[in-house]
Amino acid sequence: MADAATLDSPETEPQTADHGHGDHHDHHPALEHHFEDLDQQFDAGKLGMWLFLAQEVLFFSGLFAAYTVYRWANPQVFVDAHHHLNTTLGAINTIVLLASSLAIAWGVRAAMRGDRYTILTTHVFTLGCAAVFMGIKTIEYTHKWDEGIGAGNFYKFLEGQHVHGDWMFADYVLGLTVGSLAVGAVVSLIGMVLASNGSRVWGWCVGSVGVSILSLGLGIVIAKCIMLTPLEAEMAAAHGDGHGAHAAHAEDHAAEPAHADVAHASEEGHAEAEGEAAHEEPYTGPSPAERMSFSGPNFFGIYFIMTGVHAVHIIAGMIAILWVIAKAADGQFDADYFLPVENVGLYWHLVDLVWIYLFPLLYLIH
Amino acid sequence: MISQSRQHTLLEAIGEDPSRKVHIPQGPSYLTNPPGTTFWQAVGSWMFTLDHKRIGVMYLCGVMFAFLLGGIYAGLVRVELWNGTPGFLGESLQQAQNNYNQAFTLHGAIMTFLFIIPSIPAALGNIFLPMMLGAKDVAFPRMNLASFYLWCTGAVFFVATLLTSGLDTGWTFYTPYSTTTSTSVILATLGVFILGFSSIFTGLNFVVTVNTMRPKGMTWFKMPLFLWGIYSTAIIQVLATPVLAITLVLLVCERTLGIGIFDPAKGGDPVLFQHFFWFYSHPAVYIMILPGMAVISEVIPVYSRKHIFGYTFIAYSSVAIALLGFLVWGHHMFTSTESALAAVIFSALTFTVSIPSAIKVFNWLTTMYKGAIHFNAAMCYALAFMFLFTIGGLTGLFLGALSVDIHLHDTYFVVAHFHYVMMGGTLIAFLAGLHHWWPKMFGVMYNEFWARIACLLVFVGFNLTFFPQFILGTQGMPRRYAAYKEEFQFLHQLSTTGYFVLGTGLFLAAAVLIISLFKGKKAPDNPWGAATLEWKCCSPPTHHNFEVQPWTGSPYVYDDFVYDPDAEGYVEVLPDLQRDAKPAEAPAAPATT
Amino acid sequence: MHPAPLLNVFDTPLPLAAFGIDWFRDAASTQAAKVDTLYFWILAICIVFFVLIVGLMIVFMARYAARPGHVEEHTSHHNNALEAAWSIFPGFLTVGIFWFGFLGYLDLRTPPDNAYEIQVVAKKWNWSFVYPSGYIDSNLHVPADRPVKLIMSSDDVLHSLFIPAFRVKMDVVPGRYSKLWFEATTPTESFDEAIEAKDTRGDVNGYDLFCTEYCGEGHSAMIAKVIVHESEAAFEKWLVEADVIELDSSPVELGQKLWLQRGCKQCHSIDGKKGTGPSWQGTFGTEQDMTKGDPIEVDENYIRKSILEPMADIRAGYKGVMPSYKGQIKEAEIAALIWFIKSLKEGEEVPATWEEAGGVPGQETEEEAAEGEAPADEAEPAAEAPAEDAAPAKEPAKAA
Repeated sequence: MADAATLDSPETEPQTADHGHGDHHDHHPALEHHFEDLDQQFDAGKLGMWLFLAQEVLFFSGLFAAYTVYRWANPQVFVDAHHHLNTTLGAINTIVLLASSLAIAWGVRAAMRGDRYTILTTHVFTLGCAAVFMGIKTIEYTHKWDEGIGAGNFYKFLEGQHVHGDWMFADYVLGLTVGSLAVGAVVSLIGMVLASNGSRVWGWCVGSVGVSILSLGLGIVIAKCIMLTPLEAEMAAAHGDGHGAHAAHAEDHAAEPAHADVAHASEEGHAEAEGEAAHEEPYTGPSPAERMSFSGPNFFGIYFIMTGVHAVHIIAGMIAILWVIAKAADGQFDADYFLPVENVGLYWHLVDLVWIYLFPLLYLIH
Repeated sequence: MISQSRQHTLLEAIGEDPSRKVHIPQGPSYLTNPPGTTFWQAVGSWMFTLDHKRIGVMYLCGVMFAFLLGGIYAGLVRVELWNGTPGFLGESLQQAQNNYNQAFTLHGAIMTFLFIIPSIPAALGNIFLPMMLGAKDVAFPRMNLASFYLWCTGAVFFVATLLTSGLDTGWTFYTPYSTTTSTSVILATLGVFILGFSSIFTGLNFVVTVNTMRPKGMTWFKMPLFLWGIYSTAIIQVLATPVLAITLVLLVCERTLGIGIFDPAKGGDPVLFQHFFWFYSHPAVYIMILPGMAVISEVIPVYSRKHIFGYTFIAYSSVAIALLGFLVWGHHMFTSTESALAAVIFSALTFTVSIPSAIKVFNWLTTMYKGAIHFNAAMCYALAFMFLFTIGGLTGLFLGALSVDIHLHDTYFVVAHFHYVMMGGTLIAFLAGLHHWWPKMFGVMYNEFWARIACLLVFVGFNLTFFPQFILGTQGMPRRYAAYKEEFQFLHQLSTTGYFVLGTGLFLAAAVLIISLFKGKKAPDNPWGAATLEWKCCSPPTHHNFEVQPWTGSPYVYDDFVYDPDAEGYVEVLPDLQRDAKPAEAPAAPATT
Repeated sequence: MHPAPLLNVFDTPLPLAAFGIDWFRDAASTQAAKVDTLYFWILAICIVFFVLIVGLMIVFMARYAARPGHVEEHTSHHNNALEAAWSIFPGFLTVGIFWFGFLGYLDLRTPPDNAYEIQVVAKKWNWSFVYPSGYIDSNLHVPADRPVKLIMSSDDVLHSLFIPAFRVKMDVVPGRYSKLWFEATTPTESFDEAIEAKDTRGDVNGYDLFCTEYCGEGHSAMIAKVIVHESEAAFEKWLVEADVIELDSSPVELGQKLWLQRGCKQCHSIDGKKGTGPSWQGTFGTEQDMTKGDPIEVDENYIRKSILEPMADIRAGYKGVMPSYKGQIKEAEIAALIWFIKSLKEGEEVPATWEEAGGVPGQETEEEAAEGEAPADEAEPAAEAPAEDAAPAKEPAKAA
């Protein structure tokens, strides 16, 4: 894919490097001593990045496999639990990430043309989008915590009861919002001043950090606004009404095999699987009916791990983008050398892509 | 002492024309620093080096330390098993059992994650992969150094495990035992997680290096087979290790948060962990053995003075093993309540892996046919490898056959089988490689006689240790037992005796090599007459490996290497045809066939 | 199904015994002979290949050793026909090995319809075999010449049930039921319960039954015996006799028998030695520190609770590893254990008979208990809900 983009670029012609070209490259400051020329360096860097992405895909594939197995074994849990996820917030996050991907792709194109200013603006925009995403995620996470929905052992949620933990994030959200908006604005301004006073690298870096903090606040504001819109409030009310039906539904499922092993069940027939469900309890744990009440923790265990690991990747991506901004502001990229821009762009697309799968799997599937 | 196999002398070979003798320019060794370097500067020059050879040497020291540690734990296990009743590892039964469980767990975990997986690729591969390509370094030297420091960090986590409450889960970390035991599972899994990334970095670096940094004239099928083996290994490292990483993340979450994914009480599935684990760990078995096969593919032709037989088959079989290795993980779980259908499919796939391995053995054997076999220490180890790997491979047939595996699974038969492959295979190949490349790495010659004695002791000790275990397993002796019934005692005592013979052999081998560093004669540039590129620079190499670009000939044509008694090593002689061509611009190598 | 005439060649064990080594335990089940046959076939194939490879290697080593006057000869670098031959021919052999392994495996995985069912509960670190009558024993008793199907489940971690003489093995997994079947052919000559499994040599005094999936501290002690009764009638007779709570014997004697049979002795000594769990000697009536909370007196209540909810109050200095016996032990048996523990304390008065002890606890509700206790012996697995499952469902464990 990205190879095609490179070929399109008339300025660089990386595929047709001959010796004359190579001689010119030999003097490029970015060429490392052990490569023969920039083309070899570019190929190596690019292949390395693709392998790294392949590795990332397999890393996430473990999570997706766990998700699949668990969903197969406990379909009802997913139906129940997904009521607690706010689809609108997820959708907005999807749009935000798509926009960031567009921006960074634009930035890579600008790098191929040697357009430094566009590299910087697109990357700052991407960074802003990433921070908005994190802001919305912050509200999603903290709201769940306040409801008592944590991963595994930290799951204290009971239908119809409001759990009050020792401390609630809700008490701090206002301060966090105002603080990040104010601090973000100030830091952005400082960055602008620095940039216009000649310290370009520091200016852009500080400015980017400022934009990130500001966008984090913005994300929190957006999320809070959405959760307070009439439509969402209505949905929340309907959700409350639905508890009766919801509980009945749960009891229906309690009779079904709660975790019949797929291969096992198919081998031994359905009767066997039901038998298993009926006495699957060598543990001194709760009965199958009671188990429904702690199936939530499992869904949210998977939910928090998948989105959490993804969020860690977003943060890593933000650091990488900041690094690209610093190098770009320093004027290190030109039409002959833009490998880091392209590689960070590829990485960002992958992070985006993972979310594209997470969103429907966690938020949309009924 | 090396006897020349070809009868003509150097003078006869080059005739009256000294320009045909390829001159290898000498330079300062990569091991030394320029005169006037202070001690701390020297330490810094090693700590922050980006030179792949120095990183390789540091890795070599690291893995040898891990091997020693793992070997000590093996000794504790073997000594405890001298008697059927626990005693050596603790006064009371419980104490002895607990200590025994920790000893075999740490033996397995340290040997697997800290020693075997990085041994050949990260130590020998790091040094020789770029040199075989005629390159100055690997593609990403900083990542290479990062890989080494990740390895160190992982090792520190393991040592931390030892110093806290130990680890008693077995190296496989099977749930739900690993989520409920009170030992330092989290420390150990974090260590393995970090070691995984070390391994991924190494693999990624090697794939990119081989893909993009081959010299002109070295097409894929003119690469030395060592590179094919390492390349296949690297692909597995990149694609399988992340699955282990995420599995361990899930395991840690299960332990700390209780997410229930592996906990049947919460609707999870304990067998899912085994699927995840073996999806990595079966390919990891090939991460361990493929580099061993790669070393043997280099050693046998050199000491037989013969072109390798069936080059393309050996090359493709490496790739085939790497790919098939991803499809057979279920054969570890024939008794783990996996469905009969899954078991049958995995059994069938398992047998397909045996074919590429068999192909390699037959090809090595045919390479020796009509050769002139020099029994140098490296070749002795290679021959020991053929013997032991044949046993290891053939006993795999018992375990692949479903009904027989049901009886043998989790008994000493399995223990013997994988030691024959992992230790009789990889470790012996590692020793073969170490002896083969030692003169190049450190520029000194070791004492051949004592090295061969060490090889003999290792061979005898190995068989004495592990062959009785096949019989033990067949009789039904289960694995991981601290105490056993009296009837197994004789064979266990044979095995423990073997451990000491084996240990003596290994210490002797180490002593021979270490003494050579101080007392060894200076090594010639090409003591064995090998034709791969790493022998076409001085011993030890300079920081940039090659002061002049070497001539890329066929890696397995030895006719142009002539023994020079003055140098006590071999000298490359350009064929008549190329008499006037300058080495750097020499035409592509002669056809390999 | 099996091309028997062909395989019969290897039905007679290879003369390995000539080396003074018995490779296999004597086959004692219908499946064992087939497994052994395949084993020896593979062994024969391996020996042929080993001799071929290593033999050639040694011949080459001798014939082509570098020496004055010997020069290597250039031979062809490749030969596709040869490569194809040594890829395809072993390929056929592996297909054959796979096929016979597959047939044997199908046999091992497919229990006959008329199999006699026994429930197996594995826990750290003992086996409980639950017979259709509800009787629980720590050794596996089976009739000869009748297929037996084990329905196994674990209370804690993974275990694996392995009977070398029968060549069968299957993991025991928590939260799911795994199955294993065999048909024993050779009855056990004699059986003395007092001889510990690990003290016997070979398959004397019953066949060995090992746990082969590593399960922690007591893994190597998780051994039981398989006793094969001569006929179904003999087996049924044994079962009826064993099932009667021996009201004739004293409560202390019953307690001691339970200590021996139900896995208590793996962790609790009666001679004062500290094991995985506290020793029972002299412990009754003493006040002991707990890992959490105030010290507790080891009285009837504490013992009863420790059997049913072992994790509730753990003695200081011990890990909480004891599995719960809730639903797997009768009230009378708990009482007997309490009497037994009492008897290990000097100065405690213990009754000589049940009458003296105030009757057999739980006998009034025998019928009720039997309902929960005894898994109905229909073949339908859905109806198999054994006691251990039913009980906790009724009274969910809310740890104190």
